[in-house]
Amino acid sequence: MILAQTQTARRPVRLGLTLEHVLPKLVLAPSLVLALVCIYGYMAWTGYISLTPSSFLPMYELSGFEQYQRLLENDRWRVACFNLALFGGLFIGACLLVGVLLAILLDQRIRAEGALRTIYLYPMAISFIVTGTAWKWILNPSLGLEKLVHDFGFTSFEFSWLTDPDKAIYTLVMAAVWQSSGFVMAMFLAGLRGIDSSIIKAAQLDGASLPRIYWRIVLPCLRPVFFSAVMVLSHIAIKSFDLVTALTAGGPGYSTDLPALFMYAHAFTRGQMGLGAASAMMMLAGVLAILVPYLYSELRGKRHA
Amino acid sequence: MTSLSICNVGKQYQKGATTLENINLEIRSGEFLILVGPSGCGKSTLMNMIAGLESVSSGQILLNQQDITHAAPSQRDIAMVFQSYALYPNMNVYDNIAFGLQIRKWPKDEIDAEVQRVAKLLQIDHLLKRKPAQLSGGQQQRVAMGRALARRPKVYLFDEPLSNLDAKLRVEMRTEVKKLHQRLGTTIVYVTHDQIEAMTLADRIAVMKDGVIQQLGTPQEIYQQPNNLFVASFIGSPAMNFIPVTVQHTAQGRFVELKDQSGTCLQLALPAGLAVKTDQQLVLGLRPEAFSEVQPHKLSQAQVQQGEFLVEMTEPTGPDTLTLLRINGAEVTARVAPQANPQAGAKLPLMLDASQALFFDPVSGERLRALAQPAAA
Repeated sequence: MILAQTQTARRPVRLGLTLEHVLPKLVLAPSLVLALVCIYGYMAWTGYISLTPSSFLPMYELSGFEQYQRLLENDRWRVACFNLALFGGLFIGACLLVGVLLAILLDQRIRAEGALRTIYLYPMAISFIVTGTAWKWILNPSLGLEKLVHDFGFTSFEFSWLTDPDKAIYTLVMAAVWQSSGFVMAMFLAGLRGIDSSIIKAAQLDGASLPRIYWRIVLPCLRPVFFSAVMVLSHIAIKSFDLVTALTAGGPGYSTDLPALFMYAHAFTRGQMGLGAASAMMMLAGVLAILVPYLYSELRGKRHA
Repeated sequence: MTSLSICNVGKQYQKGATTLENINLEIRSGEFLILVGPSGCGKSTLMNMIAGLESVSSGQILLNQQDITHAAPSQRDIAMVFQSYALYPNMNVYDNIAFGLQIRKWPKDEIDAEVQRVAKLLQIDHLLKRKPAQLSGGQQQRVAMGRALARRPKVYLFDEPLSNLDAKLRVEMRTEVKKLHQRLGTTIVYVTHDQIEAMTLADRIAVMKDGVIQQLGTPQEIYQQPNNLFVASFIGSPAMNFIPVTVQHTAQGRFVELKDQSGTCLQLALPAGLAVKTDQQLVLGLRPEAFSEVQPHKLSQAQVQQGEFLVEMTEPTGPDTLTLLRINGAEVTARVAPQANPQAGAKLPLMLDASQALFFDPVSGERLRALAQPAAA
C-alpha cells in the first residue's frame, strides 16, 4: 500500500526531471543542426569547390590549387585587395578617431547627452544599402553637394570624387565612417563610464592637463575596447558588400571593387564558381587571421584572471 | 609653515539646493583636522572645494594667506587620497608615484630618489614594479598615500581613505596614518563618517550635519561637552543614552527622577545655575559608562549613587557587557564589567556616576549650560 503510493507519487517527478534534462537540448538541437550544416557545412563545401574547376555548375573532380593561382594572377582581384587594405585602414582609423573624440566630448557631462548619443548612434540602425543610396545622392555632382554649392553661387566648386576612379574609394570610406563611428562612440562611452572618476580627479591634483589625462591614463585603460572596436570594424570592412553595391557598384570600372563584390560577381553572375569560391576562402582566411589571435589572447587572459 | 583658512565658504547647486552654508574653519600648521558627519552632510563637498575639484559659490579659501578660492587644482599644491585609492590602473606602482613629479618636470634622478624615499617610508619598495590590480587593498592604500607624499604638498586631504578596508586592516592603517602624521608633522584634513576614526586620529574634529558645522573642538571636548543632541548621539559607541526627565523641586533644591520598571527610583540633583524651571521637560544625556557595576571605593564621591535595575537584555563585547535597562521609558545602555554577571530579566545592582551628566532642551536639541557663577537667588 505504502509502496504503491510512493511509486505513483514518484512517477510525475521523474517525468518532470527527464523533461528538465532533455528540454534544453531539444530546444538547442535545431539551431545546432542549422549552424553545423549552413555555416560549417557550406564553408567546407566552398573550400572543396575552390579546389575544383567549377564554372557555371559545381563540379567535383579536384584540380588542386589552380583556382588560387588564377585568382592571384587576376588583376581585378589585386585591385580589390588593394582597395580593401586602403578602405579598411582608413575606415578603421577614421572610425576610431571620430568615435573616441565623440565619446570623450560626450563624456564631459553635457546637457541633452541622451539625445545626442541617440543621434550619433542612429546611422547604425540603417542598413548599409540605405546609407549607400543616400550618400550616392549626396555625392552625385549633378544632384547633391556640388549642385547645392553651385546653387549658392559658388560655381567654381567641384566635388566629383564619386565619378573619379582614383577618388571613388574615399567616398566609400566617408559613408562607412558616417555609419559606424557612432557605434564605436557608444563602445568607448561605455568604457569611459567604467573608469572611476576619482582617477581623473587624482590626475588633476597631480597637475595633469585634461588632454594629458586622457592620453596617459584614460585611453591606455581602454585598450580592451580598442581591441574589440578594431575586431568589429575589420570584419565589417572585409564583409562590406552592400555599401559598395549601393554607392558605387564597384565602379567607375572596377576601381572600387572589394573582395566580397569580386566573390559575388564571379560566383553568381560570371559563371566562375571555382574562382569565386577561392576568393571566398581567401576572405575567410583573412577574417581568421584577425580573429584567432584575438580570441587566443582573450581566452588566455580570462584563464589568468 | 602652512595654514589653511576657510572663510564663510558656501556651496549652492544650480537647482537651488544649498549644500554648505557659511563654513568657517581655521586649520593650523601641522594640524590633523577631521571632518565627520553622516553621509550627505557636505563633508566631501567641502573637501573637494579645498582641493579645487568643485567650485566655491561664496566665501574664500586661503592657503598661507594666499587666496586659492578659484585656483586650478594643479596650482594649489594640495594632495588628496581617495576612498577608492584612484590609482592609475595602467601604470605600475613606481609610475603611479612618479606621475605627479613627471608632470611637474622634476629631473629624472630626483624623481627616482623621491619615489625610493616614499616607498621606503611606506614599506612598499618591493612592490614598485607591480600594477595596482596585483596589490591587496592595504597595499593599494599605501601606494595612494605614497603618491600624495611624493609631491611634498602643503596640505594633505584624505577622503574616507580607510572605509574600503576590512575591519582589522582599517585599525592597522589608522595607527599607520597617525604615526605618519606624528613623524612628518604635515597638515591634514581628513573626511570620515566613522566617529571612532575621528576620535582616535584627530587633533580637532569638526562635526557636520546638513552642510553646517555643529561643533569644532578637540576629541575630548566633543565627547564630553557636545553642543547639541546630534553631536552627542553621533560621537561615541555605543551611543549616549537620552532619558526624558521632568524638573522637580523640593526644599533641598531642584532634581530629576530616574525610574526603573521594577520601582527603583534615583534622584539626580540638577547642577546649580542651570536655567530651567520646575516641571520643565528635559533630556538627560548619560554615556553608557556612567552606569557601571558597583565599585565601593567610588560610592563616597559626590555625584555617585547606587540602585537596583531590571536588566532587559545583555550584549557581551568581551571587556564589557553592554546591559540594556529601561529608565523613564527610554532604553538605556550600561557598560558593566562581565564579572558583575548581568542576567536578562534579573535585577542588578548598578552604580550611577552623574558627574558627566548633560542636559538638553528637547525642542531645540541644544545643550543647556550651567551659568559660570551659580545663581545667588
